Amino acid sequence: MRAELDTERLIELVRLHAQALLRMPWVQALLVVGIGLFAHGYIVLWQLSVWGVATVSVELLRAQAARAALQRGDTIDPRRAHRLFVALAALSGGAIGMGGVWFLPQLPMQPQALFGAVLFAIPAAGVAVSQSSRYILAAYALSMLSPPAVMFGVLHPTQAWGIAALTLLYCTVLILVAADGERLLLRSIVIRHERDRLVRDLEEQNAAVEAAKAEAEQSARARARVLAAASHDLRQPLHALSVYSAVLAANPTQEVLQEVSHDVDQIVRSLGNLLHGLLDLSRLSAGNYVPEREPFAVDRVLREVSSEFQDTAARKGLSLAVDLTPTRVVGDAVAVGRITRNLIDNAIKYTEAGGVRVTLRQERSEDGTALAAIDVTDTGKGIPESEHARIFEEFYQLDNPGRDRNRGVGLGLAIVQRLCELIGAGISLDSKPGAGTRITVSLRAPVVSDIPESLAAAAGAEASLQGKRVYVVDDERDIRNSMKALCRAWGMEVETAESGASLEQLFARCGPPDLMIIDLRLGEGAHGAQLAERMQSRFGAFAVLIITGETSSDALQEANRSRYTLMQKPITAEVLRRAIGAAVSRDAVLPAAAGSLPRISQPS
Amino acid sequence: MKVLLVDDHALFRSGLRMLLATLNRGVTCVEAGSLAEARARITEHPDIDLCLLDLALRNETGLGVIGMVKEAAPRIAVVVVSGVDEVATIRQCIDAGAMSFIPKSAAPEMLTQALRHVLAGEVFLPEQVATALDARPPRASLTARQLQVLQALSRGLPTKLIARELSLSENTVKEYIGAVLETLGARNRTEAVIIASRLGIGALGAQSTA
Repeated sequence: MRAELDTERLIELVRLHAQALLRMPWVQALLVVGIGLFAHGYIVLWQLSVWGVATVSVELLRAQAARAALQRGDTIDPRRAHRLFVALAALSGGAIGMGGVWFLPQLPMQPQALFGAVLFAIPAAGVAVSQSSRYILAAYALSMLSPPAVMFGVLHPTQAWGIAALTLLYCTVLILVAADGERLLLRSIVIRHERDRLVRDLEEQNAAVEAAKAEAEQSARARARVLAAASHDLRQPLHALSVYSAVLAANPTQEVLQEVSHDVDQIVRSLGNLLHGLLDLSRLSAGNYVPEREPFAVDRVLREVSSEFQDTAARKGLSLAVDLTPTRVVGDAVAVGRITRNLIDNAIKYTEAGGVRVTLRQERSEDGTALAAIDVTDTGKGIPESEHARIFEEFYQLDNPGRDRNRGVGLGLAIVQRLCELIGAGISLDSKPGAGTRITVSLRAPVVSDIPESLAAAAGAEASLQGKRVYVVDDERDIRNSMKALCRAWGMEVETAESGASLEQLFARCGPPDLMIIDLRLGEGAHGAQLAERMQSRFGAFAVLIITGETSSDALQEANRSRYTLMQKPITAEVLRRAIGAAVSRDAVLPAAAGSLPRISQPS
Repeated sequence: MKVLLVDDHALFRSGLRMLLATLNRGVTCVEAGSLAEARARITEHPDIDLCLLDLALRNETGLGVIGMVKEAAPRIAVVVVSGVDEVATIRQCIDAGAMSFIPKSAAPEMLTQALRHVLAGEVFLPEQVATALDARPPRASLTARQLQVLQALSRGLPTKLIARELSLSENTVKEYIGAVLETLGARNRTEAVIIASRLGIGALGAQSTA
């Protein structure tokens, strides 16, 4: 800081000195003329002229150097320029002082004293010209006063010591004055810095206030927009409901009633979705949401979320593929699940043919850390460049002129964006009309390798399910499909059967599985436990899990007698996983000992 | 009677269609979700009598949509069915050539009643519009011919078309219009329509009754 200040002071000093030097040829010329006027009677004109031309020339040289320095402006090297000016000051002072050496002996006593006085007065003016540089002033004054002082001593030997002492004293005083000036200059620079800093601080504060104001205005505008859109979108279904209510009041026919109930159902659903979406959004916006920071397996979350959509995708004739690099990060598993769910939901909604792909990959950050990134890619119609900025806005829907509520309410991506902001994830969009869409969520959470024990155990269980063959037997199609999706998500090979007959065909075709998950009550009086026993007696040992929705104690007791592990519906994915893991890892000869698993007999 | 429903909200349209069908079995509905579709329907069905029109369509919003429908088919009586219910907007709609205005926010029984009026070829305006105009009772009763002219005027027909419809010369029609406005104490067509709605006048139109 000190060195910087010194440099700055030197730059300032060189600049001011150079400006003063520009005037010096004129000053020097006046001085020459003045001295010429009083000395021309004693000194030959040509001597005076030589001295005058010489000193004015030196000042012209100095002025030239000053002009060059000023033109260089800030690019100047202040130390070099200062040295140059010191040298030039010595030259200038010397040239003037040599006049004293030359003229003093030719002058009578009185003009001699006057000339001396003039010579001694010049360095005093030099204090101003030197702009308080001690060095410039010292060079100027000493080189000007020394020669005439020596000459004076020669001319008046009796006063020699006195003159030398006075000259030195005079120069010292001048230099001290200059040093004071230098300090003053330094201080003025410090003050200027202070002022600049204050102004800068003020400007920064102003900018911050402006930014905060702009942000507040923008958020107010956004709120107003959301409110306007929400009130429009909430009112529309209400208006429609009012019409249906009028239809009902007007005594409609049976067929109209059916249509009304269907439409009203749709309206109510969409109203519900809209309200839920709005409430979610407001909860996320209100700043109450505190993101979790727990280690979790991103691939597992994505696999489970994807499996929820297998059915929806299949119904629309779309493929839903996953390509997941096993990755664990510290972050918010629920938020990541929600983000992915909304993205997949959206992708399926806007894709008519082809499919959706969910990819989990690791990318390198700038400092080389591995970070997790999720891509959701679809083969839908794509989004024109001009709409890219808007698709994350609330209530924005691409090409949904009828605001067909089956296509959602336009809040999904707004929620995604809000969640991404909350968990510090980045979101980017790559889409062109006709070329599909890819939305990438960069979690910006470093990949962790040290997995807490519980997760490691879960990972072990997951690994042990990989490639296991499971038969799912249930007479309800929805249950078969969701179990199939779930087991597939855990890496198992899945076959399904809906009845005893089709189960026998399955065994005949593929042999026994590693595990059979069977409903206790199949249609047409078939009994899951009995079927399992029959299959085991014919095809050898395999693990069996029995699932039941029965809650009556008789049925449960009956099932308990069957030696197999019994699970009570509803069963969460996590519990099912644990049960499957325990069942298939048990090497003991089956049937399994009842009770080795936590029994789920409490309907929840 | 053929009615064109123009609204970008499919479920609202479908509800409206059912309500019209329950009110009057003779009504046939054609539907359009946008102005472009509306133009196509008008070309396909030259016999459309009535158009129930929402002001806020997806890409076109505001009073302009009335003008666009009137331009495509001047004979169609336009009834605005809108979520907006400010008096100023309603008057502007009538200025733009609409015959009636039904606010979507109306209570179910009000909606039914409004549609009954409209199907009967009468002018319907929300009460607050009619009361906003300080309408005096007509100075004299209108003649049958004058009622026909008022009816045509309400439907937003230009003088030339009124003349053609009633087989009169344009000058005669202008005289009739002047007489009608004077009798009703109305300064212009908009006020005449508002007063007509208040007095329940306009049901005589031959075309609009099913």
